[in-house]
Amino acid sequence: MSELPKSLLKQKKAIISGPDADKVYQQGSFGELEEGKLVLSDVEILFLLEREKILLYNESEKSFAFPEAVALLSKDDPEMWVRYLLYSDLRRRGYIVKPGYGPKLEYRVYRRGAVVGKEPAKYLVYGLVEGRTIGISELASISNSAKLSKKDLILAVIDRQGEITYYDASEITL
Amino acid sequence: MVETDVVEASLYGSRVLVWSKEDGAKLYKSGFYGKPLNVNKPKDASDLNAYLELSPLEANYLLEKGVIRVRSGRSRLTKERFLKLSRGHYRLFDELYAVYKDLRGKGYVVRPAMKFGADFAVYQYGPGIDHAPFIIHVLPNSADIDPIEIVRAGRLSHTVRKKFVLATIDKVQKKVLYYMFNWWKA
Repeated sequence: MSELPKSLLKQKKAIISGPDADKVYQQGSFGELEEGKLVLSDVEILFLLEREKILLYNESEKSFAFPEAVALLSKDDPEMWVRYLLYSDLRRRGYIVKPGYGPKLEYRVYRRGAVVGKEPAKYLVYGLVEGRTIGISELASISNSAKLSKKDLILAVIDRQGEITYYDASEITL
Repeated sequence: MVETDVVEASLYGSRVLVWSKEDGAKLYKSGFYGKPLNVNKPKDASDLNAYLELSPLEANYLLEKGVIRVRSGRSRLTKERFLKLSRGHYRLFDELYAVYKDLRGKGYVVRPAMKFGADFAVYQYGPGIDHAPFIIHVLPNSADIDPIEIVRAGRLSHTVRKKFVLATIDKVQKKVLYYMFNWWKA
């Protein structure tokens, strides 16, 4: 256990320093490398924590297990869990997943085995939650932004128990 | 069109009938308008000899185009009056009509698709000629789409093996938008 890379919680991100930074990054383009340090977002922290790839501490050396991290990171962020569900589902399927363009339930998704930075993300994945409607204008605008960034739009429908089904969506001209 | 060429149609309740079999055959042949009474899937339209029933969408479209006249009892209905009556007889009439007009305007043959569980079947040439029509489901104007609609659309495409399309009306751009959804094997 002691060999696992340590990450330090700073607000809702976590930082990994030293040689571990690159090691964790290499496991699947996790986080953003900034001056030799790796900065992980909330969903990345949870994914690596759940898979027991990292340890999470705060500045007073308190360690956080996965459930505690979920509680902490979803404070003031009711969408956090759903964002995590979608993120981890795509990751488990082997895709490289990066944040989308907006604050919405949206990710840029690279094909399996892609090298981030060498090629653009192939898909824009947008989450829809059972029980909540989406406005036509919103659908039109997502579809448009996918089109402009030359990505395939994938709608991820998340049911009330967290199961996800994906649909390829395209605006067509008849 | 010369005034005498205008086809007479009659409204009974909410249904529109063309009593002249000759005119009915002409309408049907001119773009697969209507349903010949008691003829299922007419094989050869050339010897069609039946009364013709027009759907309210078709009748409004043909009235607007000046192809038909619609009578109710002894009075002739204006297109405004007939449109108003149709709205009362059919849910989402304005939305359906906007989509119908858009597709007919683009030259497609647009037929009902109740049997496919949707609003329209859209053919390039006509039923029986091209075999894989687009199946169109129209969503209400105000719409907020329930994710379940997307799941349904994806499912239907898969099982009916036809291209299933959701149509919505963009009020801002004032145009009809068409979306297709296919199950994505992640």
